[in-house]
Amino acid sequence: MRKARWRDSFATLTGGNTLPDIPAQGDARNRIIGDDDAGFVARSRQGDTEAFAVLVRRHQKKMFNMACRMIGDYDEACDIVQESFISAYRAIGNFRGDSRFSTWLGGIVLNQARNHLRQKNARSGNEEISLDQPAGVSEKALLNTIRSGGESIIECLEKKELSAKIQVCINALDGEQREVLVLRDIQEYSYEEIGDMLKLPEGTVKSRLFRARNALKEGLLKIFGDLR
Amino acid sequence: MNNCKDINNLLPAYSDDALSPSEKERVEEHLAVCSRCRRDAADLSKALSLLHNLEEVEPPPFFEQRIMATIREESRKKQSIWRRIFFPLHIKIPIQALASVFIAVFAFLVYQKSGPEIKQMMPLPAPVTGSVKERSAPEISRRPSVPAAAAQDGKAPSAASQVPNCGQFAPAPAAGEGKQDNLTAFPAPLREDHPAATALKDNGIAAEAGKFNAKGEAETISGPTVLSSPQSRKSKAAVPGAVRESRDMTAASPSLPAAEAVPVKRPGLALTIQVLEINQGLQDVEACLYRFNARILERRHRGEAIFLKVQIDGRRIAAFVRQLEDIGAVRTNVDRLEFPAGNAAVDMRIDRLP
Repeated sequence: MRKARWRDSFATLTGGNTLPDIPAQGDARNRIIGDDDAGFVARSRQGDTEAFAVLVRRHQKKMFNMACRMIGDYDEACDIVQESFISAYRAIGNFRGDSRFSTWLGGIVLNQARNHLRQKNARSGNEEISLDQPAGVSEKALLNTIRSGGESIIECLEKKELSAKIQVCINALDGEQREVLVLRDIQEYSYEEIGDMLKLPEGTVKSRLFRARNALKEGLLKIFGDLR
Repeated sequence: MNNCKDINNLLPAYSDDALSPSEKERVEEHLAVCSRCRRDAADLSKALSLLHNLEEVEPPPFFEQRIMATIREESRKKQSIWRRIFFPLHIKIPIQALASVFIAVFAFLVYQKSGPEIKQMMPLPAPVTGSVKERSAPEISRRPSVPAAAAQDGKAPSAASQVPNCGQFAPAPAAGEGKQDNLTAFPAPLREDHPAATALKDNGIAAEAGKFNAKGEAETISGPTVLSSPQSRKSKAAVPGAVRESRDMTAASPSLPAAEAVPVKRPGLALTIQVLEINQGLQDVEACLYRFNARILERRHRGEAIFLKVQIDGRRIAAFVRQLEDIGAVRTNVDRLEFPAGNAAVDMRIDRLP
């Protein structure tokens, strides 16, 4: 232990990096295999901000998408994710490693999003979200999205419009249904992980998810008329 | 019972392959015959496909940097709280150093408060420079000049040879009253003052030495090896070494520590008891001391002579001396044995009658 600390101090002094190789930025989903965050989590617990920076780099996109889909607002999602990472850094000493770090982090984002929505609803007097309301995600997301090769602007715009309509349908869902739908069908967490995050048994998660899927389908049918 | 609403509710689970075999079979049988439910199943499949193919939203540029900037700021604040505790003055002295200084000051204050008692109980040898300083007090003029006396006896070389010892030790300050320190009958540190005094006089440097000679006081007792008379002091027996010593000591006296400069309030007394037999005399003296509740603070042997430093009630000194006169011939360094109440330190020398 002492030797490891000495090595770390030496590395800091000499500017060397004893951390594992940091993968290049890319698709967050493809980077996280198993819980290879454990080493960085352990370093972060000792106050190593560079190790925590690696965790931020790995999970920021996934957490941002989760927040975006749950809140339906790009700027608010930014704030929520930033707050979530700060909360995670403060509370990382309490992370016992019972679950994957991404699951624990997802739970923090989920709670932040819930609190935000609760405050927002309290301010707006519980206004119901209408399917006619435009989604706040896609306008800015459009600006920040790099078009994939060979995709025309028209195709890109059509995709964004479709994405915005789907987001409207998601926003129109009941809060509990929206959570499970986003976590399972967009973020692709396992039922077990969703159960951990929501503190619910798997059966409840599934039944809630199936109702959410039906509700989403009804919403999409209302917007598009025909999905085929 | 296979109405479309029930089947519609089961379709999401069916698409997720989460139904029991019996329910699955029921759904499949219904879908085979109900076109509306088949369309619902296709819509659901399409909806899920849209959801799965939903494009990821890109976070804003420098999102990670923005998050990390906040976190690093947070981390710095956390560190600065600890820094504020351990480096409160924003200087490179940690709180541990301040604590050490505080402990040192506290220990000094405690020592200062309990200092006199400690000194009384444990008289430690003090540098002879203390006695040199005392020599500048007016009372010192009454002290005899040992080297001069020694010179008269033809022992100047021996007096000079004792000079190196003078820099070592003298009696403790509590017992180190001026008269005591310079009692000629006592060991080397006590005798070393005298070459200096003589030398001062001879060189005409110090006023004290002048007073010393002018008064010509020789009432203090003289030890067996010492004769004290103004004439002897005036003799030219002061060896050059002694003169040098006196100059050194005179020069050293201004830089004495303040603790040593504290004037001794209690009068001191030096006694010489000459007995026929040393051991018997010592026993008698100890018995006498016991009767007077006196404490022996220090005991030294030099040759046949025994030196005692005792602590006794000042009011009982006269009676004590009278008792001693029954043991042997007693000589004192004072004329009147009147001392105030309280503990007084007395230097005693027990020696064989010549």
